[in-house]
Amino acid sequence: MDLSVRLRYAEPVMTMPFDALNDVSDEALLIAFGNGDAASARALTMRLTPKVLGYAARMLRDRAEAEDVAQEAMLRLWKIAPDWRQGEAKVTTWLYRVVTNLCTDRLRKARGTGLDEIAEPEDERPSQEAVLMQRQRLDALETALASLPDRQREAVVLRHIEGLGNPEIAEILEISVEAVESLTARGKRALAKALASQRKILGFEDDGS
Amino acid sequence: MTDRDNKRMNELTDQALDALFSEARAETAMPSADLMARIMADAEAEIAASAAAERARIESLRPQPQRHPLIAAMVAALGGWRTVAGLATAGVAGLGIGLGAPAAVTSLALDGYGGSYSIGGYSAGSDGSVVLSAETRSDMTSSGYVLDAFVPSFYDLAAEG
Repeated sequence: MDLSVRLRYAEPVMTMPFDALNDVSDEALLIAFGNGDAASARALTMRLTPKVLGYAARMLRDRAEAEDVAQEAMLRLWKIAPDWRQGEAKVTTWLYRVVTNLCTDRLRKARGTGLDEIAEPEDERPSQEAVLMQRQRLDALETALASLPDRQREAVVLRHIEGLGNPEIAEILEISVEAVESLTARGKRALAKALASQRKILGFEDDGS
Repeated sequence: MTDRDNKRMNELTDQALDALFSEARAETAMPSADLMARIMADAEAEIAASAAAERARIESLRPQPQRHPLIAAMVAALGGWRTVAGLATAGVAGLGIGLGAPAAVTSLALDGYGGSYSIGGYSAGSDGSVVLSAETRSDMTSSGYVLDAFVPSFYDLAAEG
């Protein structure tokens, strides 16, 4: 499974002509962009958009909304570039914070208009049973995630799916590291509970003892 | 793994949850080409906007020349600042020549003023209008004043005050 992940990432990236900028840090690219360098913007777009979109999609569970948020977050990045203060925060940390806030705003608005109903996945392909099974599992996870309180969901997604460290999450959510630990622990337990009823769907029924 | 069975009935194991997380991590949404294009367009617009803002800022910092439009028009009519500089040089040179007045001009003016004259001096005058003929001696006195009116010398100005 890990290999397929890497391939999915690698395929589009390898065709992009920004190999020369692969070793340059996000921050250096951002500063170069702030000085009017379009090549840096391209490299940053390639590098950061998948992260931003993935996180937004997980928080919002809506592809179109997530794309809007991703574009908005990147636009804010472009706008802040000339005033970027070096060494103050990681670019990704800053972006995750922006996306978190944008998503929170959208979720609040959506809740107001009663859009909590979750759409079924559209791309069901019964021919590929494995794909369908995986889709179902991930849907179950997403549904369970959506049932968590905002802060817990943010912490769990950042920690366990985005794979960030607790200090960085603390910076993104602007809370203490202890608070992050507490949020992720509570969130994870709540998830485990919410998913327990769907173990059959999840295919973990006969998972090792 | 060490969970008791009845507990595991109610909760998913950490292991299962972690597996699920890694599966979710694997399924990263690849941004569409359209989204990438939109983001790049935003970036390019931002570059253009900030470049324009920078130009405007530099422009506003540069001291604006406070020139009267009439003076500007005159300078333009004369053929630009180079011509004006040339004219100024010529003017200053003329002033210098006037101050260090050649003896011929000075003596001519003094002679005319004093009423005594020499024919050679008049005929050597560069101004054609005041060249006098030797025969019309009776007109000499008046023409001396005429000459003085035409060429007010430095000495006249000094004598007047």
